Amino acid sequence: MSASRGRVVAPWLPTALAFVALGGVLLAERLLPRGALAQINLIVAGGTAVLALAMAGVQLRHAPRGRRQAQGVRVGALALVGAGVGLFIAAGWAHELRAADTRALLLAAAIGASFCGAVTALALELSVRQQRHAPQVDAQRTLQASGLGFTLSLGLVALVLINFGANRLDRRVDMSYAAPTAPSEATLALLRSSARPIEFVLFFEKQSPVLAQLRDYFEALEAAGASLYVADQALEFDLAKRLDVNRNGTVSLIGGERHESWSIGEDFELARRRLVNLDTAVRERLAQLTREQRTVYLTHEHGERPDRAARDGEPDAAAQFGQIIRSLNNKVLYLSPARLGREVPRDADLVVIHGPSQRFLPHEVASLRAYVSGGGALLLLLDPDADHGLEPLLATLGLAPLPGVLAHEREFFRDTQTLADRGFIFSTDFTTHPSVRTLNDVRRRAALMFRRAGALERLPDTRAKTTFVARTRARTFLDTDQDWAHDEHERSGLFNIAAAVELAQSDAPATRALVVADSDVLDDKLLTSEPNLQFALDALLWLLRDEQQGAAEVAAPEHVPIRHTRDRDLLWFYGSTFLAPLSVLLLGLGMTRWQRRRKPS
Amino acid sequence: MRPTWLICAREFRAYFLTPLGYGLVAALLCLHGLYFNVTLLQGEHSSYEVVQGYFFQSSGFVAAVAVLVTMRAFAEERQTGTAMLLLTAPLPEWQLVLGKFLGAFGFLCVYIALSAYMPLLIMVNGAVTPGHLVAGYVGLLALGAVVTAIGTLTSALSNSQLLAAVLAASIVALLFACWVVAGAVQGVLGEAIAYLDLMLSHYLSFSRGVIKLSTLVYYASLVYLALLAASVALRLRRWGA
Repeated sequence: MSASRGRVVAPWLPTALAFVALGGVLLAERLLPRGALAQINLIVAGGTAVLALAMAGVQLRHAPRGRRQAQGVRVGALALVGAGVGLFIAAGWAHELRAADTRALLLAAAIGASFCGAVTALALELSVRQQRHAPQVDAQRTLQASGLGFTLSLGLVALVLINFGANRLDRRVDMSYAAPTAPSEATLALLRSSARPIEFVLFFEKQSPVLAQLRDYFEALEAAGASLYVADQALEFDLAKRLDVNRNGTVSLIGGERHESWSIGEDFELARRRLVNLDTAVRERLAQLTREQRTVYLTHEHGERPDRAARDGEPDAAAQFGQIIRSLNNKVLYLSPARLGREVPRDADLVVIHGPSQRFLPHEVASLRAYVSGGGALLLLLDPDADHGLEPLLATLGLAPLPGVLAHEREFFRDTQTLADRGFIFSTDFTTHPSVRTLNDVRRRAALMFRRAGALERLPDTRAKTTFVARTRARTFLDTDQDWAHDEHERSGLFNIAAAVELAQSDAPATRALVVADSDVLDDKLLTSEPNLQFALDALLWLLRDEQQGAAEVAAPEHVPIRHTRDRDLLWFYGSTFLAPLSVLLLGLGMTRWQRRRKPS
Repeated sequence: MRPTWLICAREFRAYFLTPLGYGLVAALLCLHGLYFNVTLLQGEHSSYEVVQGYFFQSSGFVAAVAVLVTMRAFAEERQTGTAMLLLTAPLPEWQLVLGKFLGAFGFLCVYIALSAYMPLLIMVNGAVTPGHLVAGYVGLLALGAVVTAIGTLTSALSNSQLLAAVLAASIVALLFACWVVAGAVQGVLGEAIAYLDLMLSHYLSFSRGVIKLSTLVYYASLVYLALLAASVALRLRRWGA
């Protein structure tokens, strides 16, 4: 009697109803618009799940002894599905209450429970169906199949959770040196020091390969406190219009009421070059938004580096340095001798004297001394053999140049393949002073390059606080007769090339001056070297009293172009295309022949 | 674990018993080298770009080798009639599957090691950081393991080697193309599909010198799932047998 009552409904019907309930949830969650219809659908789905469970319960009650275990598994699986549907409904209520975290948690639990229940029930039904011609269902086999389904589904859910956790943890080891996978310390420092909230909007199509390249970098900025939003320009037209963006492939930076946008492009090959300099681009824009604009004066008409290039009809050899100054949101103005003769302008935040080769007039020097004594900031880049007439200014700073040019007989960079290369020296010895902070952090990797540099020494009885920030390598010599050889009468040892000077003021901030006995250190040629670029950034930030913003981490100097020669290219081509595969093939033939010969023995 | 290692060693040796294994490696190395020369060594590129490009294109070759190598894992046994011996062996399914997987993965490692002369050439003629190479090779091995596991699964499912290879290639292609599908799907589902993408969401970081825990976990999950599914497929075959 009980068995026949148990067979009033087909055994698979509760499972089918549970799947209908899940379909209803999917319909309400993904396809129907939020509102009454979706709510009704969810409630109907919940009712169907309850009905399926009740039917399975009745079947269990009336099941013969041999089938009870399998029927029990079916009830358990459908209970899981029912719980999942219930959690879906609860997640819908959480959405109404705007409890986002609770909703996410409920949704995750709902998906996990209903997935495990559905797979287990499906495995059970498939196993029963496979045995439909058998006189009796093999309970053991059915249990194994459902157990397998449950294990697989639970394993999958566990893997999803582990993946989710790993993704949230976001641990990574960055071994790249030029890829924009993480922002530099300088960029992060600028971001953190910003009083305004910073938001990045990336206008890209979702599947753009350039966006994939950018993600790591901007997610790291997001982790440091910025907001990040990815938008398709075609879909978010109003936002794009507000930010003056008219095509995808554009990055926008918003800081309060101000914004900056620049194009990277959507074509991966074209964007590649810009991606390498992404951090610089972001840092420059951040500086534009976060720093107040300062005024930097460059003296001219004393044979300074830019003047010399203009006179000789060559491109400006100090153009890049000017660009670096501007990139930190500084206004660059030129200080004419006439103006300098009166006084240094009051709005000057920094005065730069870059490698003068002609004498400053006494009243110009007097103006500079007054500026320095009044708490100004000065960057002085002097060549050792130049007649600039700035010795009194140096004396005010408590410094004096030593006669001669620094050279090293063993440790120098080769450039012209002549003896003069001995004057192309470098420093890896830095202090902890903020003007060389980053170089000091990575001193074993960073070599600051100088060409025809001089040496500085501290004057006795000076009130200036002098820190020599960069020293030469050991056994450097001061070449006084310009033969690039170390003669007996020439001093050798360690020499100071750069000095940071502070002069305390009673009623103003302390004077800051950085004196480098070489003007090439910041010319365009040497600024292609990362440590020199770093030095420029650190020095400027210290002189402009922004050293807390730090500077970029120096990349290892290994991002170099592949060198091509015709012979080498040919060797590469034939070697890599034919030689290596042919070697493998010959080795294979040899090995197999050897193995065949060995077999009979 | 001893039976696993025995199966692994037998599988690994089998690839080198005939010139076919060497021929496969040589042919793919030749294509790889040609592609490397034509696409990456023409014109002025920085070392970093070339290394990144090398690891990106190597992923395709490694996937191809993995598919070709694993198609024979179980399907060949069925074609040669030795499947019955394998299925009736007193071993749990997971040991059989793991042994076959490790044997094929070992062969793949040999291929990857043999192709290392290309980044070494970049090192000689340009300059690259060892860290970038390490990250790239970790990525190649991880991706190779995923494709090998998928190939092992399809080989366990199919009766013919060709079908196994086509199935594996289709699944891998689908996982390579998830990014495109994700672009057409909005919301959480789109993000979930994008996460499944093997290449742009995950592998690209390795080629750029970044090792991400989330990617390693995802790849390990795929390997585990594929091998688990292969074990289940074998068990079902045993029941059928």
